[in-house]
Amino acid sequence: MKRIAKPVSFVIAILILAFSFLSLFGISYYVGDNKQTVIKGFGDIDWGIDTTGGTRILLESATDDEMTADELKANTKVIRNRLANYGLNDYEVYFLDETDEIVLVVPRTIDSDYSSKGFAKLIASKGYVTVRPSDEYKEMIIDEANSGAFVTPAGETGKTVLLDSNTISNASYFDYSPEGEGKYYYVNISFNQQGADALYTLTNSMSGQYYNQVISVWLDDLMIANPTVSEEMIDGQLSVSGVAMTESKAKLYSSIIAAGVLPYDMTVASVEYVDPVAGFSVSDIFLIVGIAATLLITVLMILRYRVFGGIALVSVIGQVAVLVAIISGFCIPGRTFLMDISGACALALCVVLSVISVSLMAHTLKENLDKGMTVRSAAEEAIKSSRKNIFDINVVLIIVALMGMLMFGSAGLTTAIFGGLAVSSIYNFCFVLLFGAVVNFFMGYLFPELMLRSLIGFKALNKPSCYGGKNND
Amino acid sequence: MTKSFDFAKLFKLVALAAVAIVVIGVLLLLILGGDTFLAYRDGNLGFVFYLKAFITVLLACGLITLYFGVRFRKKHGLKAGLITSLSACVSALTSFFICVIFRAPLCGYAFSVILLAICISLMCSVVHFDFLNSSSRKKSKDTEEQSASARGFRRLLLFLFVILVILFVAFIAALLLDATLLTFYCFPACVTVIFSSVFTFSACGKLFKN
Repeated sequence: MKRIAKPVSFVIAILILAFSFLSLFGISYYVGDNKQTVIKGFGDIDWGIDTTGGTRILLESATDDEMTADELKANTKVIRNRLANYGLNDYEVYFLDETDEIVLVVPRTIDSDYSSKGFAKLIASKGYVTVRPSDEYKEMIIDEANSGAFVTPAGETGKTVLLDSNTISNASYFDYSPEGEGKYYYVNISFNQQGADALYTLTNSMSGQYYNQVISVWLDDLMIANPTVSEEMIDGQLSVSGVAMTESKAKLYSSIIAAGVLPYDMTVASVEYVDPVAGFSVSDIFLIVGIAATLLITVLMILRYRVFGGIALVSVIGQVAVLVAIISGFCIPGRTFLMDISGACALALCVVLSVISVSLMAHTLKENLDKGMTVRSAAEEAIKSSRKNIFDINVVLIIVALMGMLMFGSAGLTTAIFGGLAVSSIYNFCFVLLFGAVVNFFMGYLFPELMLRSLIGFKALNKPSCYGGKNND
Repeated sequence: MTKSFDFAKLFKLVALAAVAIVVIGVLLLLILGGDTFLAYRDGNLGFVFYLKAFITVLLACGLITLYFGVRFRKKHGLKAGLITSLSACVSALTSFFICVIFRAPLCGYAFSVILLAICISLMCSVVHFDFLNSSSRKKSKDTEEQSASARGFRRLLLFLFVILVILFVAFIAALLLDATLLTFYCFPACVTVIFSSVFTFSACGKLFKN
């Protein structure tokens, strides 16, 4: 049997427990009233609509005419595509045929400079883009990101439309960092052939009316940029930025523009916060369940497999800690993955997965010991036979998780074919399951194996009774 | 040597139970209707959702069958893959109707119960076929099957117990902490866990033998 140095088991256990402490509790400090997070813990995870509530926006017909189901469906589809472009998985969009209304619910904890109300209003807006001469406006307001925003075109700007949404084919965003300066975020609008030709005519350096002139780009009533045309636009691409253009704004604007205009006019009837459907105490429930499960697993494993109880405990804690680190982003700045109850169910399943993996090894070892094998040969045999089991289980679960993520995520492969139709419960379950299965290669097999090999090196632990075998020491 | 429990003999019984669950579930859906969340009703998720789900199942089954075909090529790998996929599909279907029978609202959490059923079914199949693959060639096919199912089930017993206790604790905690919606899914999930594992072991034994 391949021997491993005795201290290895303790080193692994200490490293895993130290990492778990960091991952579960995080590190943060306060500067005045502001919390500065260095490492995000379990408490920093953002929870989705079902556990923290959301913002519910109700859209109704802009006219007195009744809207047909097809019209409502068409508008719903555009809103879904906008959310898919933004990469949001946890949302609800549906229409009520009886009342001619569309309901949009987005989580309160949203990765945007806008509040969830502001975000929902923009996502449900008409989304009509215009390129206009000059940059005259009626009013300046302070937006939710605390920067100035210009609303309602006025004067010549209000009267003339150079290009509009009918000539736009796509939109995206990118960042650019000139040397020695910070990052600038750009919204890039791609025009179709007709739009590209018109753009070239307008910005041609020889005859273009707007070459070296200010133009402005508007999303409905909001001016998103007012650049000065400094070069000819020959490829039908218009990239615009501004001092107030943050990453989340650029992402949001490009998501709305890329999905197109709402085909039928609707207005916002109401905006309100909604309570979480699963109640406010879900995180407490998971804490109780987590503690109960850990205790139960440890006691059962110790009673049945003795030393393996300790290995199982380290493995389970490690599995949870790594998954929490992946979900929270650990030390990566920004918002965390939006967890919901389905994700938490998958987390519980992943814990059980690591228990299965360790118990497959432990049970085979126990059986081998009962057959009269020595501890070393029984352990070697157990490691060998459980390897295949654990590998196969992980691979099969990875296949299922990948399929679920691809088909039901917002940025999935199928979004282009089927449109944005994310089902957060399936996506979140599969996301956690995927990483759980990958992490299980280490926490369910590699580390328990190393710890077992190392522990057998101790004379006191080289007895069958230490692993639940018959007491024939 | 103690005689192993023969899961293959259970197959008729569990298959009958699966059919009964589906029939009762369909009847309940037709008579009482499902307490479906608005976002999941027909006009909203509708056809595209079912199409996506169908393609997902098809792709996942195809890939799993292929993987089993390669992994267990010495012992009818493709057949093992097909049986695994079939068991997972039946488990998913029955878990959905178990939710209907328990009158759990049909929303995202019902999908979680279905996914749980699929994962458990797959784990059971993998353990079963792994044991079958490593069992001695000298034994008869019947004995091999019987022993693989029983060994697999014994190993997974602890895990099944743990998952049932977790669900029970979650039920009590949800009841005490006013998370009523969650309580609707704990019992369907418990029944699903038991049914999926027993069905998979018996289906793997019976169908593979034939």
